[in-house]
Amino acid sequence: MRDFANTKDARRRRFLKTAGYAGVGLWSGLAWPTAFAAADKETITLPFGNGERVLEAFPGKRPLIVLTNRPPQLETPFSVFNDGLITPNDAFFVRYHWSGIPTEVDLKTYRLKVHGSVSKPLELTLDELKKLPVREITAVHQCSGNSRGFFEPRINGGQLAHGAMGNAKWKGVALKDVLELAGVAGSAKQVAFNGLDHPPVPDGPDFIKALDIDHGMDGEVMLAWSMNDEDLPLLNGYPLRLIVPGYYGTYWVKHLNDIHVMDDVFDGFWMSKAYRIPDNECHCVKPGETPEKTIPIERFSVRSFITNVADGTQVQVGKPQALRGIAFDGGSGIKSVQISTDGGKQWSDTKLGDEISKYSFREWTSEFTPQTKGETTLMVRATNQKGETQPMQANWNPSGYRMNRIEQIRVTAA
Amino acid sequence: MKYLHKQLLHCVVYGCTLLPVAALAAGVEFPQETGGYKKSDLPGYKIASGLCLMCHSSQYASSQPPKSSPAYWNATIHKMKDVYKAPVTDEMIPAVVEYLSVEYGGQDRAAAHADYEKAMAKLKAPAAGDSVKK
Repeated sequence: MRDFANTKDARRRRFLKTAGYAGVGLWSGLAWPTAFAAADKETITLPFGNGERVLEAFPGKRPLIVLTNRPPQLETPFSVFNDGLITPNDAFFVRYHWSGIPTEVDLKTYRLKVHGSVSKPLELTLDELKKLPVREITAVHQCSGNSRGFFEPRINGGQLAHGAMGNAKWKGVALKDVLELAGVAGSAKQVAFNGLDHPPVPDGPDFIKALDIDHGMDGEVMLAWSMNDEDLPLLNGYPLRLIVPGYYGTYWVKHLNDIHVMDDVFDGFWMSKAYRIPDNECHCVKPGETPEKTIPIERFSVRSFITNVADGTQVQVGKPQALRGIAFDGGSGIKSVQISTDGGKQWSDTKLGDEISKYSFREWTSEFTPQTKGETTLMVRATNQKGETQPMQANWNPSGYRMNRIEQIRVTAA
Repeated sequence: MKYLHKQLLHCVVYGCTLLPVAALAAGVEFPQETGGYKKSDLPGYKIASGLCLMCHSSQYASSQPPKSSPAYWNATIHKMKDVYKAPVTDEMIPAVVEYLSVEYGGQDRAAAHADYEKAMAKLKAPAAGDSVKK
């Protein structure tokens, strides 16, 4: 395990060959738990029923909150979001759908294929891709089901707290530049993306996602090989992943090796059946109801968090308490962040930090001085440039996506 | 692939010494989960420990909200079979649903077993209009 500490040497040694993918690797999701690990692991209890989790260090990662070991689904401990606006690579969350994941990738044989409705199909090495104009963007990556565990009534699925999000500087090339190199046909409607991960059993629906061609050609969607000035960690999609700024993580295909330009709308399982939200303004229904019509999930809802004060913190009457946190949305940008220190009756503006990019975490700071003894509830609420804000009650939907209720922290003044 | 399927089913019924441990052999080590599925005298335990663990760790069940309903477990196992193509047969499903509903959903054992009997009876004598996929 220590071999995979995030050192330069370790990174050089890490990903050596794809041979396993074609042969053994096809079944690499299959494992037999002949020996379960010893039960002396660090643990954490997330604040919802069945929230007990262990923390473990996976390759390239510090100990993270384990939702599932196989495939790896790892949450970032919330305290990391108070350390800085950029989420370190070794703390960045991990989410896979299938346990067939590449454990090694050989850049000598790795190719990015671009095919379908193009005049010139491509098979590019990573080095060839790197010759295109290099782009950079700082953008939040967030799982559609981030914070699912906090819906009431509870919703089945991955029971995540707030740690399936992160903010990183991504470096790569514009998808547009790659598509132009291949020459997209006028008839093209969508672009579908596939990676080296795969179902562990035959015929399971491979994880393939699609974007409309206009979105793919907007110049913002990127193919990135670098995250915070280092190679992508294996578990975040080495050697190349799709970056879809402002859009939920489901589109950010990892280990990307196949781009298919299509004349019709891609109708695979992960677009036509999964990752869909109610087709109405709040993208919500009454708990338990089934939406009449659904659409594929798209941009992030607006969110904000207090990061420097944990629930249950003791504060002192008459003593100013600094408040700090983060806000982000799907790319319109954050207009304001307000806090309430009286349980939501009155709200006051906070001071916003610089806008690194409209897709980045944005810092906010404020202060509060408790006037009386006892428990009080701090709340934070962001509004984006489109005027969208956060609801007091979560917008319930059957899959538990887009959670963005106003977060509350209880503190006790003494 | 057909052969492999047979191996997997064999493994569920007779134990898994024949199953090649292909995973994680290739240099990169991933931490394994502790424990696996909750031990139980219900027959579904052995099936879950065989079939479910082939593809994913048991936290997919243990992390679900307390009192997740029998309907949820039933829908999930059917999704595993019909959508994700897990090599589970219709005959195995009622026992797995019974096990998960009791051990992870907190369903009353008698009620869960009654559901099991009902589901098995339906498999043996499909009512008119029901189609049983083989």
